[in-house]
Amino acid sequence: MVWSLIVSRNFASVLLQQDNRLDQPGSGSLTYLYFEMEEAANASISEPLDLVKLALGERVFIKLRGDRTVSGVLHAYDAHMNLVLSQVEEAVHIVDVTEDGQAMPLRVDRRQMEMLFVRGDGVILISPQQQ
Amino acid sequence: MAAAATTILPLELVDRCIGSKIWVVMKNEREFTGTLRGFDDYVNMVLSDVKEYEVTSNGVTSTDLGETLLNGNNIAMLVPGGKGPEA
Amino acid sequence: MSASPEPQGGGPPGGSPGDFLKNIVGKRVKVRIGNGIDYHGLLTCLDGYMNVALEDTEEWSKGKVTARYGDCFLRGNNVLYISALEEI
Repeated sequence: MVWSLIVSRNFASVLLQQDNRLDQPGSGSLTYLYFEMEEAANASISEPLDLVKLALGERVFIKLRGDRTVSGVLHAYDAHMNLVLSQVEEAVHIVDVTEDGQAMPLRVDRRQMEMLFVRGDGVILISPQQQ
Repeated sequence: MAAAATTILPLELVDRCIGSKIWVVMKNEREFTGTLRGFDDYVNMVLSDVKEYEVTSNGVTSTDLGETLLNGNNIAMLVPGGKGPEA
Repeated sequence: MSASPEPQGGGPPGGSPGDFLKNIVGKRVKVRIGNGIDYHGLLTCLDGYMNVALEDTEEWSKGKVTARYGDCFLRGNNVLYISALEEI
């Protein structure tokens, strides 16, 4: 399975080969919450992370540092807001500057990924996608 | 460890500002004035009658805010009295 | 014994950040994040990291609404301030 790791600070994306199954216990610090979905459905929101819990299994929109947005199906999260997403589309918003310093129109680079880990420190916003 | 009688903890000065105007200078080009209502260990601050300033080379733009919780993370300096950047 | 910076009096009741957090839930707020983008919405809840959950959220950038979100979670480290848009 191919994973992409978004490193928020330098905007570098590092592709990693990762053989671990998501549902394998003890594979890293993420708490996998696949089966808490039914539980979450009738839980109310008492802390902000509950909103993320309620979005498990749903398509979410995520704003990241470095003018990136990502949307995908949320599979797992933890207290750092490390996230695991599938069926991901990433969009990078770029303002090109010409040699004489003029800003070109906004350009958006898009790419698709099957499965993605997002490091929590890059996360600005998470919203369940209305569509 | 007991503090010597002569030492004043920096946050004691901030504590004395509660109820009066204060001027907050952030690490970036942003500044705030307001009446200090309270603060915590991280110097997160609750301010009322707040004015937010953005200080650029083109001048100062300001915005009025109501009761505000200011994140202490990006605070650089505090000035008791709170005249603000326009004074 | 060192003095606690938590104000123990002098200020009006409800002065500390903790009190502010208790009182502001359910109110309309403006949350500004570091890069100057604002989120206006109904504050559902927040925690000690200043993680915030908002309802009926508008994203404002340079004086314009740039997005709307039914529900949205903001990670606390990005929050510059939380300001009440109504009396608390």
